[in-house]
Amino acid sequence: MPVKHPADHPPHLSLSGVSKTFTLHLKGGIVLPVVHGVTFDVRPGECVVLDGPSGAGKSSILKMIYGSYRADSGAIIVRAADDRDTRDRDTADPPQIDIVTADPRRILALRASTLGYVSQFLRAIPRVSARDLVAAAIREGAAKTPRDTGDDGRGHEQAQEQARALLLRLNLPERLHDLPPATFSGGEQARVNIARGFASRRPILLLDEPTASLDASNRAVVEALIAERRNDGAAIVGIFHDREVRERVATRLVDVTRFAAAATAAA
Amino acid sequence: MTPTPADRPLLSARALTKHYGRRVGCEGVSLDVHEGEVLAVVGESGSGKSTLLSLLSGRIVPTSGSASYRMRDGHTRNLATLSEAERRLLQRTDWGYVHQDAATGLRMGVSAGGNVGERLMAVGWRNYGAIRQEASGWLDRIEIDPGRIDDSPHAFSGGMRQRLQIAKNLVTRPRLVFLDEPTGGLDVSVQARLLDLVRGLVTDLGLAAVLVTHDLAVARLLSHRMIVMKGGRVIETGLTDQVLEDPHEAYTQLLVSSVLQV
Repeated sequence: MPVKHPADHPPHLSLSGVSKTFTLHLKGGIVLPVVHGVTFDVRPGECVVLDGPSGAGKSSILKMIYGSYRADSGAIIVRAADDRDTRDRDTADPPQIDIVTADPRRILALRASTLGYVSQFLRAIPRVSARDLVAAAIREGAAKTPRDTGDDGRGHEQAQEQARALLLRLNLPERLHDLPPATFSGGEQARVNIARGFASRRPILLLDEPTASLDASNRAVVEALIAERRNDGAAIVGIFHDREVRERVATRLVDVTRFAAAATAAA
Repeated sequence: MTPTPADRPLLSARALTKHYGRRVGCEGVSLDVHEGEVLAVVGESGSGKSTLLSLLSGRIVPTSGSASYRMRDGHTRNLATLSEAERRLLQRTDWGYVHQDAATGLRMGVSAGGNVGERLMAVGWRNYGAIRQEASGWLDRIEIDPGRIDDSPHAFSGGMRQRLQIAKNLVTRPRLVFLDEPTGGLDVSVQARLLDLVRGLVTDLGLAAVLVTHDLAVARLLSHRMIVMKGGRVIETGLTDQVLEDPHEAYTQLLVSSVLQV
């Protein structure tokens, strides 16, 4: 089946008029403008790269989409992964959820089914091995709710094998797979984190400088993983400081500078 | 669409209030906890988080407001209307309560196996061999040598006692566990092991939990949602990462900024 052009699909993710300020109560209540009026769509198969200098609010936009930052106003509409029966699929569109107003439990469910996020840093969990961390992400991504993690032996073994393959592909030597990543180098931790983020096949993927601490060969692996996820129809939003990487992975750039300027003007 | 039982909260509080004379313990707290969900209650000493935990677990009676629980039969009951026998049954079967000091939650005069087996007997287990086998399985699960099943908790380290207290609480497969500063007073290295255990059990058993802690790192690791208390009131709520990464209230910003970054 020929892949449809992204423009033929409705967006997986749609931001309109999203604004954010920080009020610093410990600094006399000063209000820091971050972004104002952020508006863009991301369709399946696209990798939209947020562009602009440090401090322009790129990471804040990703965090608002993921729901770990709260937007002041605007709408962030996410098409939830389609977990309905195939019989219903032709008759109705999958539910659309506005992250800005969704209640916390709805956001958690969306993270389990729909939204993947790869940050710059690994939040290591004490005593959990690298392979188990990645395997857990694989099983979470396959589950429809945070609770339904498919706790059967077969799923467990498959996830372990997939995790092993992904870690090897990212050049993490097998002798490290059974160890908790707390003691790994920064680059090794970053690769575990990337494996975790790409392990699950969520339809929306948010990438906050995943290649920042990687060498050239591992950057190339990440670029290949991005291309594969796009071919699968994932909608990707990313931040890449390395200009060459940005040019290779981006299907479109969104300049964040104007949203930051608008925030300063509005403040 | 009719809501399925899982859509209805397991535990609910509405305007829950407790006054000790003129002093406010807890004022107007409303919250819901759903199955499989861990709610952290954070705040400094005297913020009312322990009072709230006692109210939610039916250990003290509110001055006003209510706490209710969806029983295994599907009926949601106001805790204040339960008979003493019903409340005790709930506390011994469908709920767990992990105290900060393991000696409070354990029966120190009874062996490790006896501590775990006690709740099984409370729910009708009678076969000694089966009880012993189940207790032994739990000791293994919490990384205590099952060969020490007949030892007294006095012979255990602080970390082992705390793990034993957790096993004692989970052996009857409760649906809801109250955790009161479960890592307080333990060495950091011991904390990591305990947190890993709690995290694994909560995920594997699909437990709901209310976790009271002043340690934001513990809350971050274990909880899905968080409420921040000050002066007996809830001042901020949200997803755990929202509250910690984008705190809105002055007091929450102070709490978050006071944590040493490691």
